Amino acid sequence: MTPDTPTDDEQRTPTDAAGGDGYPTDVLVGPDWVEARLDRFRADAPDLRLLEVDVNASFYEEGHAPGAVGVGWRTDLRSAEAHDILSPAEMTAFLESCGITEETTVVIYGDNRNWFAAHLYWQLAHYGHPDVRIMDGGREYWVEHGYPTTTEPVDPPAVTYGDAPDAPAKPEVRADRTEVRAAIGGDTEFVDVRLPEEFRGEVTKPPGSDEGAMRGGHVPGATNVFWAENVRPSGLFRPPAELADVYESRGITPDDDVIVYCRIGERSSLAWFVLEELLGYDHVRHYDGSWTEWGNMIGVPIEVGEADGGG
Amino acid sequence: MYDFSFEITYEPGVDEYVDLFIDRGSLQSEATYSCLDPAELWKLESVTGDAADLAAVDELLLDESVDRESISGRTCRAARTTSLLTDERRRRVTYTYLTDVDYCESVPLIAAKYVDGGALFEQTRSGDTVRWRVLVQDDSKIGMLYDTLSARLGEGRSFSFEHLTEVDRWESELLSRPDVRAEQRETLLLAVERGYFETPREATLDELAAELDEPRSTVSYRLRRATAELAKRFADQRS
Repeated sequence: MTPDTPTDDEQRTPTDAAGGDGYPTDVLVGPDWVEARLDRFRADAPDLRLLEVDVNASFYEEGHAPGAVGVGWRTDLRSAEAHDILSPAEMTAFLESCGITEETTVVIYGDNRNWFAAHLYWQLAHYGHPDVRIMDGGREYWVEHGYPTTTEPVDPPAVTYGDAPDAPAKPEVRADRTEVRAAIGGDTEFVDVRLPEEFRGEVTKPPGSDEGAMRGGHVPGATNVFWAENVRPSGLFRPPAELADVYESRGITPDDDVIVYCRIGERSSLAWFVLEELLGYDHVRHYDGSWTEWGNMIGVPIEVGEADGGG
Repeated sequence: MYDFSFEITYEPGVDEYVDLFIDRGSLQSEATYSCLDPAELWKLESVTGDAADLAAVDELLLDESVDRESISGRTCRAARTTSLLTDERRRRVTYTYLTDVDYCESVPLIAAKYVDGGALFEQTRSGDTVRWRVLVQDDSKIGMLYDTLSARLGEGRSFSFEHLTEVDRWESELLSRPDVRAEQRETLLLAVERGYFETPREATLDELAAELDEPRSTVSYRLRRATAELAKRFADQRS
């Protein structure tokens, strides 16, 4: 099979050629856009860098896009010093180890339709890296459609980042538990992107995983918008009108104040990316503490069962 | 060994094969799948039901263009061959082989990407529900598998996790044999063959007794013992 012989017209859309199906290419690029630049991603010059970050870390070793630097979410995207995202110094060291300077265009992709790619994107937005983009469809689309892969290791040259951040450049993209608590009962729309059985409180942790909570349920008033509703069966993001309808049909509109969350804050990064970058919502915060924090705290309000229909 | 069990429930109209099970209540299906390499898959499926309902299944069962594997909204891109291994009045057994898989969002093929060293898959269908049991040696990737499988479901399908447990007893119907003594089995098989269990009965106890050359009371006793054993086993498997 070759990438240009689709059997079903949903599989290959203008997204690939145009890089985003009508979405701005400065946030979302298609696999064709990436394929056309593979030589530049592999070059020593740090203009372009490609990063792969998977939930299932063993995928990278089975084959990755040529030149893609492998990122481990457990080792590279969490602070070594606290239960937190990377500190400014850790973020700078991580970017330098990937061959990224403040001038670099960073393109990220990964498995599960870009879960952790979106999480890294959100962290980079938080720290204000000027140019970062997601590859539409992620790892599965790349592999399933016959784009080139290799098992060769990628070792980018060491660089100095430049004007490194010493604090978040965009703190407004993040919500902490205090902000969440203050927003309950107000006009803020909470978007819970977990499975309905997690939202209802029937499942408090995924089977075989330690990402659990003492209590099941959701933030009072939250709307359940399962994260996979953002993507088509092929893994590409839904086209703009359809994607807008996913949220607007539930009364969540671009001028709303929105807080998104999930279990450990990776799937909700994807929803944050969709609302903030693809749909241009005015004010979207990501509560990355998510259910592993909220469901384990003492004395916070929790709602169980179906949504109560309120905002 | 771990048992990861979950159910997928289908709304009418989203999967033509499931629709048959929704419309025809007598239909039941049990299948076992094998998949070590994400590029190929094979399965054995046994479908049982009333003769008329089974006849309605035949066309879909043997149509190699019908996708009975995908759980998502997109059809598998793979080569499929199906053959009929058993063709009885109340039972069909088919063998299906998928090869050259570019993508196929079926439970075994998704699992094969996550679980090292292979897994055993057992699937049962009844009404609007497809129940899966995935047996794995190591449960360390099951959390990822849960997140991935549940996200691949197409519209009109819903996911319900049942359990992840270490297996210490076996209740599978696929590998079990009811414990019926040989003389009871002989009597039971003859009774089925002669239509004793049909409505209305096509044979009487006296006729069976004559054919077996046994007293009527002995034949009656053996049939009661055999059906009691089967009924108890049936209940045990569902408790």
